[in-house]
Amino acid sequence: MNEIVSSALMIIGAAFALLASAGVVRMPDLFTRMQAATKASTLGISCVVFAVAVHFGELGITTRALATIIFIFLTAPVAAHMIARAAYFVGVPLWEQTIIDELHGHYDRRTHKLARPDDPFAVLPMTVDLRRLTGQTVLVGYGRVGRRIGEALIANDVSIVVVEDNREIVEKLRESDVPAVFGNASEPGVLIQAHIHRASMLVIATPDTAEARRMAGIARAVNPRIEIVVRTHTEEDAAALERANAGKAFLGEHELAHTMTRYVLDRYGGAVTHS
Amino acid sequence: MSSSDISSTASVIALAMLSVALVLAFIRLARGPSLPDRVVALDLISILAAGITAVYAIAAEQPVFLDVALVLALISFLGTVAFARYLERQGSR
Repeated sequence: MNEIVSSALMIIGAAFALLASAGVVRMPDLFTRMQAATKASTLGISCVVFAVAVHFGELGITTRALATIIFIFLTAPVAAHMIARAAYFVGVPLWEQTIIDELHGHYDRRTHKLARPDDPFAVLPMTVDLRRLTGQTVLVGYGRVGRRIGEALIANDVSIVVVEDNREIVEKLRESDVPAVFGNASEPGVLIQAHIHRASMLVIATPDTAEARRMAGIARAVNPRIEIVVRTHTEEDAAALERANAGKAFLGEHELAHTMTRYVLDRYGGAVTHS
Repeated sequence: MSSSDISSTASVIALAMLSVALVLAFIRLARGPSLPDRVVALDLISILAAGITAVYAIAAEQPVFLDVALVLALISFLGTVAFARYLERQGSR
């Protein structure tokens, strides 16, 4: 029985080690190679060493085997972290299809220290309930347009996270218990802070179309199923945004005309029924 | 099939798989392209060597080889840490 268990463990371990090596050869960049190498080799060698313990079934050997396994489990992550960190500083290129480098700009290249954003408004407070950050609507911009959307959404019990590049607005929103992040949403880190990966909708109420397209690109990359609503100013921009699959575009003048027309027709309709 | 037959067959298969793994790791070591890539490959090679000694301990019925595996794991860790520190200090490829 022991023989069968140890043989199975040995084969499983060798298979994991083989997978690790295949990953190291096939993966596209250093960091993806490392995640194949470290995880699979740790598990693989631990299985093989455990097989030795089962095979001999003596206390002294089992103890040594367990010590080896514990040693591998403690040292492999440390070594992997150190080499990945060094590689990042050296500037080993990421895979060309990498979407987001979340560390970008956060490391001080000279002191090699992780520079946390000093601004408490640039990160969501830890006290925000995770349920409010799941399936939420991320609202970019809380100006004339954004504020009206935001207030209506809050009134309808839709959980929202606001991204705004005006500190005072962010401060006020936090005081009234609305999760808000300070920063420019066309930077990946800011949208990630707003938990875009868990959001169901992104509403872009800022006027700059080029930035809006960048935001939509980041959101789509992180969360492919997200619905995006964009504010635009010209018909060309609206067409370009919808062509670029950047979401549903709303044109200020069109919506104004639409609402005014409806009002006028309503008045006529009202007049007809009253007479 | 007796029980020792099972474990000797299994150890031959495991050794073959680990040897292929070793060859693959060598390919990455040769190809690079950056120094950290080679360090990762080297780390994998020494950990695979530890695995091979462990399997060999079963194949040869010699539990002493387990100590060799432990020492190899230790050396691979020290080597990788030293390489990482050197890389970070030098900042060159």
